[in-house]
Amino acid sequence: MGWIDLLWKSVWRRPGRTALTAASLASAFLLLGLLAPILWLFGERGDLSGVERLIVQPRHSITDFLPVAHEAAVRALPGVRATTHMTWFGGTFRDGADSFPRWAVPPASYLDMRPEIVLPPEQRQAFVESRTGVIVGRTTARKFALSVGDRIALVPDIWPNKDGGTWEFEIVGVFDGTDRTVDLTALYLNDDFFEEYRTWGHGLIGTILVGLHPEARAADVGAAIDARFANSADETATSSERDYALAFADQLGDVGLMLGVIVGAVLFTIALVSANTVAHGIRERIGELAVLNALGFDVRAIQRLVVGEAALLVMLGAIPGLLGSAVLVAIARRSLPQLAGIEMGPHTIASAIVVMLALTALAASEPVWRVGRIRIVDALRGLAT
Amino acid sequence: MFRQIVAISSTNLQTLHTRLGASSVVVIGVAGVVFVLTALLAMANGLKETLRSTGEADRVLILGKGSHSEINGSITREQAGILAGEPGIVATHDARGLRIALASPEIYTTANLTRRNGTRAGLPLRGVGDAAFRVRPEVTIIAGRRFEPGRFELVVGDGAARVFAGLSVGDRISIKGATFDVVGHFAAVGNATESEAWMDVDVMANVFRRGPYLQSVLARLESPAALTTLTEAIETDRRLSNSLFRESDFYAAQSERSTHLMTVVGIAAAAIMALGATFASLNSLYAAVAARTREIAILRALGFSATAVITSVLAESLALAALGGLLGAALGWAAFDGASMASVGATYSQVAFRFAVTPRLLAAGFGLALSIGLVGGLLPAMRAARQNIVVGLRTLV
Repeated sequence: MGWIDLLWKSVWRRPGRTALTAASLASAFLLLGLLAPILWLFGERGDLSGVERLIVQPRHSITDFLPVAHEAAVRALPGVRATTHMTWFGGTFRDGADSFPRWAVPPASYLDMRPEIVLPPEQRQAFVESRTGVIVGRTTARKFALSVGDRIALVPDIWPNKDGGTWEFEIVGVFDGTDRTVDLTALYLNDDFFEEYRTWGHGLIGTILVGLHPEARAADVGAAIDARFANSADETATSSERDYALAFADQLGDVGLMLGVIVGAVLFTIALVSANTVAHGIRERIGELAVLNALGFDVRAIQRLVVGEAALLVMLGAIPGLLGSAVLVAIARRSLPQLAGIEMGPHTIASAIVVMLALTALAASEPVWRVGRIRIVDALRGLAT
Repeated sequence: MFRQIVAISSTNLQTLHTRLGASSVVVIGVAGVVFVLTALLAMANGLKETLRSTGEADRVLILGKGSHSEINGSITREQAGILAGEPGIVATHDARGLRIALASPEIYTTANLTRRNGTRAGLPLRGVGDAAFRVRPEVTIIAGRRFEPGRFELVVGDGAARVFAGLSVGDRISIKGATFDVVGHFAAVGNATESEAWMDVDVMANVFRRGPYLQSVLARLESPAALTTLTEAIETDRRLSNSLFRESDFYAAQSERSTHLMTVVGIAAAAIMALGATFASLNSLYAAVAARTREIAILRALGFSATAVITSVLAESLALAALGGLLGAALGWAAFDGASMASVGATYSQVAFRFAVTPRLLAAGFGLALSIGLVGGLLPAMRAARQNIVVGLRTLV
């Protein structure tokens, strides 16, 4: 019988207990795999290396605006290849129960900036040329059964129009995306029409998107943009698109801290509980280990067997647990909009491996020590248990 | 029968200390579950209560037609003037006999400031006039004084002052290139208004370039039922086009939305942990039963009934789980009750609130603990009762 066989047989020596221990470990790793990515949302940000685009927001408030002149000033800075902008339009569609984001953008420069938005050429042409044309993402189009040629009306909230009524648009395109950063629920309307027809806020825009020259350093350009407007009434905060998407996490504030505390509590509890159970299982079989010793296995080999057994048991729990959490993370990403940014990245796997090693060490240490001072005669008599 | 149950159960409980390792697994496992449940739900509870208590049934929040939150509202000053004269809104008369409606035209936005922990987050800013204080009698100045009309002065809610740095009375802060003096602090019976900072509505309109637009009117109704009168009056007035929300409903909806994520995560985490703890306690009770195989067989041979044996194992399991539940709830209560924290409320701004560990929550935690004990003990108890007596007696201990 090979080592692997021996290990496998010892782990399943008491199938009921092994299954229960693995199940309780699995639930711990399920939680770890679920909470670690959420916690990651609160982690370090502000890293601009390798970033090709920047987002310039009003520094003072997410609901504030920037003067449109800022965009030209940004475009004049070294390292900037192109700029465009977007302004939150808001409004209510139908009864307002099912909302989706709506933005006013200059069609040509916006679509040029974001090649990941896929739109057939003739629809793009129509969006650029028609004043009241809008494009919607595939998801929203499907959900509300909208197609090219349909007219839609939005009741204004932030932006009343000059006729004091609803804003009327025609759908001229339905877009898809080449990656997850494209929001397929969004609607984009023409900024020219918006600027002309709104009753206030002329010359104000929400956010500037900046495309960089390939050789430009994003961190330098970002700093230059913010420095350009420092100490004015319209200071800016420049960040990467990823940080922009995760800004919600900052707002969650202390909740992030709390989740950290809870992950700690969970790991502490489970570590203690499962290490104890694994150790208990091995302790019970100390007599069998003594038999191995009597058969000629040296103590080191038996200790290795014990460590291997603990590691195998931890893995039996960890792997299904982590697989389960991968599924849950994918579900949470879709169904809870606040968690749209979470993913089970290398950081989660790495922390799971660290926890697996620590658990193995914790569970195996006491039995290993016990095996080290085993006396065959005592053990065989059952005295050492 | 009853005496049998008492006899074995008490022996079982009295000898618990001899199975310290296995017993502590159950206690610690259950304590962890209850701690996590208490912590997360106390957080959701605190935020929910803070938001809910902000709204009054006899106040109405009037926004522009189509708006669902203050931040999206737009009402012209002219419309605000007309609104104040509509029926259903409480009005008083001043010394000269002029009619003063209890209606407060307001601007609302957020300003990113540095929190005490160094991160930046949104402070809700409200531009108000005198009427705001009359409409909200719960707002009282607890330090300093009110802002003076036309001046760049701020009064800061007690909660906001706790969360953000540099908002003590006498501090100066810069918002959108303008410098404001913090001249006072106000309290509002712990509700979400306490998380805001207030300034003069005209000053704010200038600094934030709002033109002729306000965002909302908050008015006091003659009675909760007067909302119908007011709604009808506004609908028939062709100069107006507004959405009306009873303030209590408005904040109740907001509190549901804001605590949804927390509640989902809290319950999911506790449920998964509870599952883990159940498996762990099944394990240790199976082990405990296995270790006492011979003892149980002797008891059965002596004539103790299966029910008595089952009850004794269950009693052990429930006692351990109850101990764990108490420990977890006590830890949760000690660590978090009344603790102050802030999270996101509506529209990217911070709401300060306190953890609320309520008796109901403690009961829920304890109930969960007992369920884990019951499920974790039942199967091992049945095995103990079903085992073959003759084989059991032969078992080597």
